[in-house]
Amino acid sequence: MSDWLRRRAGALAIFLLFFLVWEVAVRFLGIKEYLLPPPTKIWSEFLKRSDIVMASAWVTTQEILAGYLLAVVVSVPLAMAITFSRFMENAVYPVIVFLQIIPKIAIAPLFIIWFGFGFLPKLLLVFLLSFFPIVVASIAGFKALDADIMDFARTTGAGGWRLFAKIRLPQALPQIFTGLKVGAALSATAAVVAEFVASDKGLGYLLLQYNGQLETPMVFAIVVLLSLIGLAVYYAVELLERFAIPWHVSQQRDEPGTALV
Amino acid sequence: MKALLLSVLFAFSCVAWSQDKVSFRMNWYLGGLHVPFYYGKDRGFYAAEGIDLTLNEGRGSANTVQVVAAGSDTFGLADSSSVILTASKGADVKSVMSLLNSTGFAVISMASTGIRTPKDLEGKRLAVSPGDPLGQLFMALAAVNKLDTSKISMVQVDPAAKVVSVLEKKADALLGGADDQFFLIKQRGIEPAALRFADYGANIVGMTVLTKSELIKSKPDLIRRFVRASARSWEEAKKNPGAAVDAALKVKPDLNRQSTLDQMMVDFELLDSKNSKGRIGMGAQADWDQTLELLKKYRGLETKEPWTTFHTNEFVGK
Repeated sequence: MSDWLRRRAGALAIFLLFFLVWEVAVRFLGIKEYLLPPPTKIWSEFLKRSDIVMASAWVTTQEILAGYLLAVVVSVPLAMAITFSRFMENAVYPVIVFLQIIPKIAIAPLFIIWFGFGFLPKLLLVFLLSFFPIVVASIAGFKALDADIMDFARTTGAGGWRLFAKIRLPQALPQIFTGLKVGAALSATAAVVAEFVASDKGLGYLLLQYNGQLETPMVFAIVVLLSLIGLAVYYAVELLERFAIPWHVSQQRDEPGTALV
Repeated sequence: MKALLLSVLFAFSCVAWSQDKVSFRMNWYLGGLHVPFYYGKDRGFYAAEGIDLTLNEGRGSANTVQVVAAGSDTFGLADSSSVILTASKGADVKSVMSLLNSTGFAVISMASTGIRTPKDLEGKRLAVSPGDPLGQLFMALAAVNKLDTSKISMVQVDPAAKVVSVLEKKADALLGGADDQFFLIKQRGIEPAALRFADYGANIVGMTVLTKSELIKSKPDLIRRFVRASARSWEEAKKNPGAAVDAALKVKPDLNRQSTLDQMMVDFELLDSKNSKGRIGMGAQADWDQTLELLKKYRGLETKEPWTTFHTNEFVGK
């Protein structure tokens, strides 16, 4: 932990300085609270209403997690099927590529007409937004196969399953994780957009309400909280990655001597 | 013995099934306008009519009409223009309560700006939001009051930014609700002023309670009970405004009590128009005819249907 602190001290200092300048500037220049509230005001307003805000945060978190997990569960096997089946590649892949072009957020208002105000339209939008990056990255991962290694493995008599478990999957994992991280970052955006369009609970719902009431400190508090949720999901995936592919170069940047921060 | 058992079972199932499950979608976040419904639920007026009511907040009238038309909610609260425009495009919805017979639409400004009559708007900057009905209906107000619209500059801003643009003097006035933005300005300790469209010859029917026409045919009794409970809720809220707001505060503790009360008092004023008198939910033909006429002129409504296609008084009477 102390090691972590030492490495992150620079970043923390920058954050602290940023908040300090913000606080002083707002107070010194007499900027009105509904335009830009000082950080201390944001914090104190948040504490006053932390009950409702945290309850809403839980609603939004559930939408994010459910939609994201659904996307993972659907897209990785789908990517495998597309890579390993000529039919799937010819028939399904072009459809996916085309669907990916549709601006998903633009069809969000349709979801209200179809599915109302409930949980389902949020789940679907999170799913749609995080689904495509994962599929595309996974396909790339499964395809980026070193043919020599495969040939070598076959000479040892390895069968289909062993080839998959020992070579294909491990080789694909780094790319899959890239897709998972992009999808994770998009999932929080998707949940909030879905709540903007139609909702009666959640952080996106609160955000619009406070914005309409000119309660700018609360708007800031919710934006910060949303960022933290997004960050938590992102780091959860990264943690998983560390366990899944500790050998990969993407995981070795924190070695002593190479760490910059 | 068997007969007795059966009749007991029957009685039981009657109790269990006698409450109709009904969901009611508001037009917006819980505010003064919605308090009477929450009060009625809290006092058990809906339960007394055999209705198990769920109240839901909404995100704009147009949105509410869509979800009611889709059957996700049984009833909805939406402004008459949203109901009429959606119904004219073939959606199966109809108003069963003409709740606010005067529109709350108003030109809102800081009193110090000195906008007291529509004529004062000439030479001023007006904050409007692209695509909202206010801007189009303002043209009706301008026409009735013979304003020279070339002398009024329209500043396009996001709905949430309208109040800020007036407070920051980026605009002199905004188009909004007499029961809404007016109080946002007041909350900041500044004396607000409002020119209500309804007072200057450009009235349209405001909020209505709508449902699917299909339900009107299949369950008229349910609608009659719902309308009766809703009218009673409003009557009682008028008698006990403070208690009504407290009922809403139970559901949403972070409401501003004073603002919500202020808003509701304005909504009480809007219940009637010059033409409608007395009964809550009863629409007047003159108001609905004018609404249709203004919508045709300023919002591209295309219909040859009479007003009774969009609203019925049959559930308010008796």
